[in-house]
Amino acid sequence: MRPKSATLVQGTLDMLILKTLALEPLHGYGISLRIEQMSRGIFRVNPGSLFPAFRRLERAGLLTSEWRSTENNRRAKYYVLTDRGRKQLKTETSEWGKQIAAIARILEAT
Amino acid sequence: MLKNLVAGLRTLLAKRMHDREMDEELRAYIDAAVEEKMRGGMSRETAIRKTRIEMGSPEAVKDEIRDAGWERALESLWQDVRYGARMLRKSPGFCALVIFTLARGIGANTAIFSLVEAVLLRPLPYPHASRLVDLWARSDVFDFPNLGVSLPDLADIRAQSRSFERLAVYNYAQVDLTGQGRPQELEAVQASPDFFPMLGIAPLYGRTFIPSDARPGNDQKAILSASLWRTHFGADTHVIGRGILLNGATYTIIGIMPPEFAFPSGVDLWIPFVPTPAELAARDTHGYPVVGRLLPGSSIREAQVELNTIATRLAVAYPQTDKGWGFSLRSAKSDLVNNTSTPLLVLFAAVGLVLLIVCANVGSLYLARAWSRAHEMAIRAALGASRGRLIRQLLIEGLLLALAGGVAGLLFAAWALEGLRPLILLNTPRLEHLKIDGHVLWFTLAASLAAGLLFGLVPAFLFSRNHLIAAIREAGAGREARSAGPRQSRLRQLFVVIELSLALVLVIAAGLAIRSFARLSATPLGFRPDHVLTMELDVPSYQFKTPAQFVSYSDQVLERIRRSPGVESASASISLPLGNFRGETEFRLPGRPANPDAQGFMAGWNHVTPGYFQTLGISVIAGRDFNENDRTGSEPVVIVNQALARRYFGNQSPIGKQISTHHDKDHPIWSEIVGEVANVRDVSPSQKPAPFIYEPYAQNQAGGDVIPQIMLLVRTRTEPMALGRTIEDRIWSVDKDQPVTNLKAMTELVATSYGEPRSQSLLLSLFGGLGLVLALVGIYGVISYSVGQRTREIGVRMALGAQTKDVLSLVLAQGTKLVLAGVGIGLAASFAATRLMRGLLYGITATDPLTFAGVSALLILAGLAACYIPARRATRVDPMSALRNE
Repeated sequence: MRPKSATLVQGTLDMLILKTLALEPLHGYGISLRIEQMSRGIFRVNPGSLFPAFRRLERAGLLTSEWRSTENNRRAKYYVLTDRGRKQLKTETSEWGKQIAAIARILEAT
Repeated sequence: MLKNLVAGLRTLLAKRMHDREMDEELRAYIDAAVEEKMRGGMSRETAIRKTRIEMGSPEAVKDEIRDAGWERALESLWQDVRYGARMLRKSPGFCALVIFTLARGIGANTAIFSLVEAVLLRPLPYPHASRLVDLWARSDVFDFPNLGVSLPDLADIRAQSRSFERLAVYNYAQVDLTGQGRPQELEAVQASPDFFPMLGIAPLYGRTFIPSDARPGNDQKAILSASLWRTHFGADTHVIGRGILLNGATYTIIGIMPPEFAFPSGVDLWIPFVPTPAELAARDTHGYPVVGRLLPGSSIREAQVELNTIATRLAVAYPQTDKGWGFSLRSAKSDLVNNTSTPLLVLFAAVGLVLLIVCANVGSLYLARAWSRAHEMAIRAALGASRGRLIRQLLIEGLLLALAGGVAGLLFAAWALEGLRPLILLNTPRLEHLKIDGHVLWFTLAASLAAGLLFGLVPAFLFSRNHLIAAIREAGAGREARSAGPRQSRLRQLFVVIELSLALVLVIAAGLAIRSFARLSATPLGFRPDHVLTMELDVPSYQFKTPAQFVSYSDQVLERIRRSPGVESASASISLPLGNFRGETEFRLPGRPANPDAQGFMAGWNHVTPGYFQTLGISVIAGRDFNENDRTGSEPVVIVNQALARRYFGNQSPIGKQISTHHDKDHPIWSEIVGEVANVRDVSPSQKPAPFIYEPYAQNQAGGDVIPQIMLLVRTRTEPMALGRTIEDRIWSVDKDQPVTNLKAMTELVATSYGEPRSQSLLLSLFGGLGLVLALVGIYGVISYSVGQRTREIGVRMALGAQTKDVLSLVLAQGTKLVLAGVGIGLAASFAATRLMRGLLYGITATDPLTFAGVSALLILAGLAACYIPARRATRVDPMSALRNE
């Protein structure tokens, strides 16, 4: 973990991966880059956490993968969100929203 | 879930392909990262370097990916198992010792558990057996808990109770089977028609009783047990519908029961129970066993409460017969195994202690081995193995050993069961079910795993990180690792103390059993069983129309036997002391109310011929023996035992007093007491003699039926069994068709009745001995080890002038401390534990001071002797070489 990047809250990495893939299938580096860009550089995900997460999600049936050519004509493993993954993302997003709101209320209380 | 499983399995099976795919994916990642960085303006070399730094080692990443799946944990576990097996194979001596020790512990437990399982745990072989109950009548006055129920009472219970689905009554009867080869007496049970439906067992062939079979005149039906069907009818299915002769009357065979059905146990055939109107009205005949099935949902406790209410009501309605009587209900299984459960549980507890000692023993061995591997462990820790992983490794090796020990134990148990079978508990019910079955296998597995966990986890205490580092340092310095030594030896000492204390408990239990058995053997039985031959003549009552015919037949037989050479005396009776059958009678004394609360006083009861007391060696204290003139028609006489005389006549002589055991329409028939004889332990050697009344065999005071059974007793001048043939010939010279059964020496009968306490003390001694040996090996090992560790110290002491006795006392002091600690804890534990045995002991208390003191002394001496061997070795240390070695 590099000093600059914030530590991800436990369990949120899976959600971020699902979110990234909601738009289009991506390969590993693409996902990592997308997360970094979207968080404006706050979260940088190390491959050591990223790839195990892929395996976990794939095992859980939330992702599938396939080998495709990249825009640079290289082969890479693309991850695709399944229907179950989409559903999971939805519930996790709403759950997350509730939690954030709750935490915010606690922190704002005097 | 399933997907996860399949994916995991695929990863395990196609490992190489999977690795390649992972490599490729990572390479693609790196390429993409490098390109991205170059697009940002970096040179190719810088981009590659930066990517490498960001990512860390690709191997580590791959490892983390692998860790994400469950199959990874399995894989490393399998690695540990293989590694463990390899390490164990390298030290066959250690393994053999551990497996052998475990096998004894686990094997003994398996053997005793299979006994417990067969006798106590396995349900009775009937559907919903937990709802089957035995119903008994109980008197508040007499000390007989299990009397049969009277038929009118049963009818009232049936009418008033709401707890039972059914209540069936049965009655034991003996019948003679003739016309089927040799005449033979069979155990028959008269059963009410709802008997079979209530037990829920269907016949193998034919049918069971239906209500119309219990109609007088239509009741000559018989159902055969599978064993009778096999032995007497050649397992021929065509016997159904055929007639057989029972007591000279023709009965039709209507059914055959399956082989596993034997209720009550030992029964050969069932016939319908058809009570006479008199029997149905006799509220004072507490003679019929009742077995019932509770309604689903009602408990024994609730039913008992209800029965108590009914009993109170009956006592008010029929004070003459029912006052002071109640009913007791017990589950049919507990009733069957009642007397065996305590001895079995004591044995089970004892054998459990043996296993604990085994675990402590093996744990100590295992600890020493783990410590000798500290170097290997330290290096693995240095290479990155976590402490958990190291402990897991040792645990896995422990479990491997334990499982091997379990398998060996199973073999040991199978062997031991065969060897022990004739030895264990001759009278134990349900022993025929004894075998190593699925339940026993599970038990063995559980016991093995528990043992493995117990001793496998022990070294975990040793491997803290600091100790491991110290171990590496010392190994580097070329010395045997030692810094955690004190901790290790403290643990081993703790084990030895535990072993010694458990062994003390076991040996004390064995000591109590032995002393109790010795007391029991030394207690006089009141008769002389040596040189007495006994046998049974089953005399079919239908052959004799009158009691007089019967008496003249037995007189003839006795006369011929008395004339044989080698015979000192011969007599006949209805029952034998310590035999299967014991008569009981109520009696009255003149001038005393026939017991205010119940019908009368109770006494043991037998009919004997003149010479009975002489033949059995029972001394006549006062008055006379019966003689040839005491016959039906002459003045009724009886002989009583000392217990009766003491209790009812105090210091007066009973001779000449009146007593009544029979009555004629409520008028007692008085007999004169003509003799007083010594007490005989006729129920069991441990039971105090109760009042007893003997009546003349030839005097039928009630003028009632003849009891169709003769026990012959012959006192011989030589070995009794040698005369068996001669005496049989004499009997057959009167009637060549007379069956003679149970030809036995009286000593054999006596031995059988001592069988249970003997096998208990034998088995407990066996376990006590096993525990003691293990504990001694344990303390020997620890002291030897400590002497080895202190060689240098001892060398220095000797160099400074210590004498042999100083060294000896140095080592022995250490041993003494351990032994005394073990004995102290063991004594405390024994006081608590031996209470379990209270019901099994005869003539001593469960905390018999002599046994406690004697066994403690024995253990202290044996423990010190075990320490003495290494102590001697310590005195032979050569100071020079001991110092040079360091």
